[in-house]
Amino acid sequence: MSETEPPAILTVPAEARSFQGERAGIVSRVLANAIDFAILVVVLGAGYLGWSAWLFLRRGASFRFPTVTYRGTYLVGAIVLTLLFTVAWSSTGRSYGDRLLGLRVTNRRGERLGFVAAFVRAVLCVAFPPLLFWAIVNRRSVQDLALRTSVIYDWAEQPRSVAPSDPS
Amino acid sequence: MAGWTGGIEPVIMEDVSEVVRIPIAGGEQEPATRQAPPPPSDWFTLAARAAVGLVSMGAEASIQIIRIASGTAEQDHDTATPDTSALIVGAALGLAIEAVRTAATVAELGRRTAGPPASFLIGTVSDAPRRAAADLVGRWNQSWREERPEVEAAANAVAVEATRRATDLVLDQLDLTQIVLDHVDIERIVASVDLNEVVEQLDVDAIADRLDIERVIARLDLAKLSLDVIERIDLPEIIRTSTGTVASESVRVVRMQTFGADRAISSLVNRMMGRSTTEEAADTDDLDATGE
Repeated sequence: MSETEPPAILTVPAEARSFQGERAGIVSRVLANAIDFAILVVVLGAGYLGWSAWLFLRRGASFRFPTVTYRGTYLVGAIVLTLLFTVAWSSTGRSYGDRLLGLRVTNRRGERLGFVAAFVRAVLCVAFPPLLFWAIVNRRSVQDLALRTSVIYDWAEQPRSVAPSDPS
Repeated sequence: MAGWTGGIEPVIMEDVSEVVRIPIAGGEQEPATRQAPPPPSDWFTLAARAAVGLVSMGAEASIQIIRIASGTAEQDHDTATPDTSALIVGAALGLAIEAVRTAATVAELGRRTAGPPASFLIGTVSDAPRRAAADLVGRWNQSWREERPEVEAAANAVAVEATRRATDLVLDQLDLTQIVLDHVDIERIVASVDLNEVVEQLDVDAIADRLDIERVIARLDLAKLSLDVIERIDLPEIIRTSTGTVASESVRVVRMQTFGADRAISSLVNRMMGRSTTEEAADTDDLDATGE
């Protein structure tokens, strides 16, 4: 701790302090992604309703709910989810699902991802969701292995302090 | 006298005590008449005794010093066989005392024989000069009595100053600190001091008033001290338990349960793969930079 930085106070409960910073397991990550997916559904539904309301205002009596194709829904959902992940991982280091589960995405130095890295990781995660389950083997998904990122337990509101050296 | 083994002491002291016991000048002075002023021969005898006594003490000291210097001080000195030096000194002192006694007897006999005629003749011839001398002595005595306070004060001042200078001169030649360290058992002195009583007599409040509390506080790492206190009392836990909501408590429970599930699955996978937890920990090289 340098003299200019304010002292850090642990806000993590005592029973959870021992595993802070460890890589998260598959259950936490799947659950966090499920919450993010539910949020995506809500966002898509809200978008559909908003688009419908806009069409209703334009067409009046001839209004009909727009027909949504599976391909279109998947494409829009993928774009929206990629944007959500990119903004979340490059800003706070975690999506809303990660926040609820106390997880954070970091690079190999334990730092928050840059925008490009967050975008690439978001694209890979959205395009190939099953690759996440490689985390069952060693708690790292294929995306993590490719980009040398990690998902760690971090219950604190502020990001964890980063060690200056990188042993890898 | 330290180191005096008594080898010649009986010889000298017996002679001196004998001088004291033997009446001088024919024994006319009885103990009943001791209140009267002693005759001139007694003064002479007393002075002679004192001189012999001083010589005796000087001789004893000299012999003692010679013995110490020659390394014979620790020898056994039997009173029955005194050494030669002690015998010679004792004999010399005894001879001196006998000579003094004889001289005093002769002087007293002469004074008695020629005393009355000589006194009449001297009193007749020297009456006027004696009176003049008595007057002169009286004036000197009166002058002495008048100036005695000033003279004594001046003498005291001179004596005090001389003593002070002599003391300073002696102390300048001595390393008192080293002398104390060499010869004084300081630990014994300190052990005899009741420190509790000393502390009770201290005015701690006055000492505290003299303390610069600001400087003491400035030397403290208050931030680290605060963190230690917060960690010791687990202040975040107190805040969490006092202000926590049902939602935050639920989140906490869900997090702990998912962590337990993660750990269970990891253990299962490790057993299936025949991998120990240390191997899994070794696989977390990239994460070491995150701390913990």
